[in-house]
Amino acid sequence: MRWTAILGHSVVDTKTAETVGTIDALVADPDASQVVAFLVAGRAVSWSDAGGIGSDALTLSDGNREGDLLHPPSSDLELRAVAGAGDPLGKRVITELGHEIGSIEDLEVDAETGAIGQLILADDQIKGSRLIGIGSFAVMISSPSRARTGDADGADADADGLDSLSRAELYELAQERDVVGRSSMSKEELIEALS
Amino acid sequence: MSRLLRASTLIGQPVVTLQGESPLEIKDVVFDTGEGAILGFTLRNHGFLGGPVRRGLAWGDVHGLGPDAVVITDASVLSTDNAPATSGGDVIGDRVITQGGTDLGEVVEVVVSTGADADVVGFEIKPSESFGGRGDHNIFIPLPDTMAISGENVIVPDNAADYVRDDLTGFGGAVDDFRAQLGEDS
Repeated sequence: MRWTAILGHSVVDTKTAETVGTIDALVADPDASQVVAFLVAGRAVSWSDAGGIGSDALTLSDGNREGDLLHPPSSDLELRAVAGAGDPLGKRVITELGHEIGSIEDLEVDAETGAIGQLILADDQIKGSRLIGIGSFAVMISSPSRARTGDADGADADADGLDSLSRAELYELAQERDVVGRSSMSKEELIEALS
Repeated sequence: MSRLLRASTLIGQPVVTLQGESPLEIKDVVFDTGEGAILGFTLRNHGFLGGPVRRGLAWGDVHGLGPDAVVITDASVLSTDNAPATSGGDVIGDRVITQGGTDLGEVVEVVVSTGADADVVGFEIKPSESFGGRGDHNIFIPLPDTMAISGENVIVPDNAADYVRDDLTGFGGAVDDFRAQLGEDS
């Protein structure tokens, strides 16, 4: 489900059938690449308490009383979201090696788990697992070389690792290494040039 | 070789933490004239009228240096303790002279490689007349890892002149070839 589609969802208490508010903001934990809570009318409800989100509404159910689930924002991430600092929408995306690659148009969020599967840019999609930070200036993502090899230089990774990257990620690597003629290369040509 | 940049293009770039905050931007690049390395950066607040701040950024605390941002792990590395001395001097304007005594030209720009292991890799120079200078056409000359630099002159190996390029495209390869050649000689 898209992040922007979740915003504005009604929050309904299934015990009383009353609408208690709408989702004003999502609270994301960039380290875990996960939506962990929602803000509803100045209060917070954690994803684990909500137990997932429906296609049209967030239901608080199973005997849990509204008063228990909706709490004053307390965690660092929730407080940042209240201040508006944790909102990724529209933010520029910068890799940890200092390349700006676009801005966030939307995010794909797993409706059951809250896992952020993809960051959606105008003409690119980035794996949610590459998320490092969501700040007031930028959304930070790991370099494809580091994400793949897990070490600092990553320059000696084998070609098998390259096969698993998208063309956009390969292009990022080609930018980092200043591969001449990269913009006109196919995915196969990029793998060849980077191997 | 990673992508290359003129060091002056770093001026005004945002300093961004891995958390996505940008407390400050680059005011100036500070060189160590003794070592031919970049010591670090002086900083200023964002914007054209952004005032200078006392806090600095040491080269060793840079997480990633790219064409769009200087990335640091978190804002705690920006401290007055880390501020590079600004009295280190400037290599811009130095004469580039070979060990054999040929004046190759005058330094107009420092070229750095980007990425996680950023480094000073060369100079853009205005070539001397004896080195084919035609006035307005600058050239790029690769540098060894270490060299002698004073406030007036930079001494480079004689064969650095063999690896000169006319533009930044392909200059990275020339630096690699030059340094590999030096490694074989020593």
